[in-house]
Amino acid sequence: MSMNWERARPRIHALGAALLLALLYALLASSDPRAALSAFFLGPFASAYTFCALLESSAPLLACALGACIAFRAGAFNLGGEGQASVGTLAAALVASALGGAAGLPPALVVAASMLAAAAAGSCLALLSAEAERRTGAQVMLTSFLLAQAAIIAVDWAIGGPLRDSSSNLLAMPPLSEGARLSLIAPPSPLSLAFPASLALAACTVFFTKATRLGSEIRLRGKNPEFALTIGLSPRLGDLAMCLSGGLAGVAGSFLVLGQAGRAVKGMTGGVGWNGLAVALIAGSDGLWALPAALFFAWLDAGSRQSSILADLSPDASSVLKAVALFLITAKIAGSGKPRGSLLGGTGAAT
Amino acid sequence: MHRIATSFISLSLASMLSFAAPAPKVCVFVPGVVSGSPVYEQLVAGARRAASEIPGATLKVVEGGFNQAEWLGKISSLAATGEFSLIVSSNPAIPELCAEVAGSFPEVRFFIADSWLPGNKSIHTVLYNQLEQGYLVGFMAGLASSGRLAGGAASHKAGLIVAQHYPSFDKLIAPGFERGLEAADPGAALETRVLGNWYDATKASELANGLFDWGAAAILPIAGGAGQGVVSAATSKGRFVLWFDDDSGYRLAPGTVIGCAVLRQDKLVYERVKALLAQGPASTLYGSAVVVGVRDGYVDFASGDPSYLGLPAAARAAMDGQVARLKSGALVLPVAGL
Repeated sequence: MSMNWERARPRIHALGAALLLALLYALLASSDPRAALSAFFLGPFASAYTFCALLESSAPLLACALGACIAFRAGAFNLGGEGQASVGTLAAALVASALGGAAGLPPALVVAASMLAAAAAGSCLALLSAEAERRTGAQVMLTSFLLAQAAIIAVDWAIGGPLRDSSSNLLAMPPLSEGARLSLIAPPSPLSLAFPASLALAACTVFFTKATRLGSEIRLRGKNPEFALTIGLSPRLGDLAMCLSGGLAGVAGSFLVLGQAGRAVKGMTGGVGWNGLAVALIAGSDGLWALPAALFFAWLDAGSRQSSILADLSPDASSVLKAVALFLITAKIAGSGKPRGSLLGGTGAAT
Repeated sequence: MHRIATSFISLSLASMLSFAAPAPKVCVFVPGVVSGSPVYEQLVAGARRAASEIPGATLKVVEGGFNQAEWLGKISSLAATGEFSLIVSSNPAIPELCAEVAGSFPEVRFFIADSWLPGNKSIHTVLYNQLEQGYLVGFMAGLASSGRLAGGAASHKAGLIVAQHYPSFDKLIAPGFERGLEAADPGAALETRVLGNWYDATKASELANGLFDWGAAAILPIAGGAGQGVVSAATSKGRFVLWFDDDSGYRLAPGTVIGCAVLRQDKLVYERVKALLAQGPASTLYGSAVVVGVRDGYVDFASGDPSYLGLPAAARAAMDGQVARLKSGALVLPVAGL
């Protein structure tokens, strides 16, 4: 647990403030505040289905957050998670469609190949930004964002255009065969192998960043890039971090396609990259804390959904609450006068 | 004697309570938002009216938003609550999602208007005959392109602007429009432009300007909120627009929107939901898919607005004649499904 109490406190305060806001919102906006509060806070745990749905929705969020954590640790502001997840959805759908129909291939192989393709697609997109920075000095923060926007448009065009299932009224690619999808753990809930896979990714990320030499070098680069170069560390460490970051976002995209949806649908990333970024900030770029932060965000989404179904609150409430939490954390840390790195996990050059 | 009577009444009450069917709970899933969408406003109004006439029935409206990728999860969540015996919706894309949900929650029933899915025992769908609906506005476009409205030279050209290609448009609306145009203005040319989304009024205006410059006398937009851009372009160019699904177009731009082919969705939803609630989950309507059109009273041409009544009498007579032929069965445009 590298996040000490001093660093955790503003985050806990912000999350608490978000919950307090949810409480006030339910009290003021609902004609039946008791039902609204119950649905919002307890609804996600009211049945096995809703709880499993919460866990499933946290999986892509966690994967994106882990990617953002690695990039932040390396001192790279990868703002392209949304686009990297988007190309991940397309790559996963294409490979799963191609291999899913091939006779004799075991489903596990098809799913693994689809996830690898998604990771590769996300990595390639992120790598473009890293390369651009290394070669031309163009900031990763800017190029990753711009490339992501272009990628999202291209992917949406492909899914809604030439790759679209013409027999369907949905803007989606054809459904994947059962063998090309992640197995469900607790049907009829959407909980699939995506959730345990995201936990495994979290464990690997924490191990990599904290217990390996390469992870230490990446953190050192994040703390002081010039010093890292001076002592002879590879100038390509940033490339590696961006590659891993984009890869994890790509895997998040594959979770979306290979999970409950079972197909690529236009716009299906739905802000998972941006939310992953927020989760990483709340977690202080610590992979270990990314898990509870992702679960918290997933809980806000599930609570909003349940309170819109069982009470009369807006399903969009979670977006506001997440924004409030993020704003408070950002404002509190920025207002503390600490160096840039403390926002991203205490890796500022001055620390 | 008193004790026997008391026991009898108690037993009767108990048996009545134990055999009484639970009050039905209906959920309307709106694939978008209600506000600003006349078709979804009619969906909710029809379902609300039906529920109000069934003793004890309750109704909940849930807006699913515009992201299609989220609809499956939201419909699944609705079914998983176990709260609702009937989920009502309207959109051609919804049945395939409901079919997936129905496999996991067989006790939940679905009624989906404006869609087509036969053979699923949990789902009843009704498809509007949009070949007829397209024909009506296509005929009106033909009246415009043949110069029978403006009094000017005939351009013999008309346009379609669609947000995206989808089966209902490609198989019903566009062919219907083309047939109507041909009936009113034989040999007239038709150009179609694809917008790419349902909201970009600016781009829709650019596409409309292009079609008007090409010579289109009238355009039918099937583009949701972006249709406003087509109306703006037509107003500035002094051309005409046809409107689909409801008659709000007349009020958007009086004199520019000259014809509205409407759906009586509130009527359809009211009748079907009431029947389904009265018959219960064993209703024979589940599993069936039917097509309804002008003759059934669910597709119509809005002919009472001053914008329409201000058109030349001869043009109105020709248009009303087409509606009458469809209503009487003299003109048949059959649809077998999607």
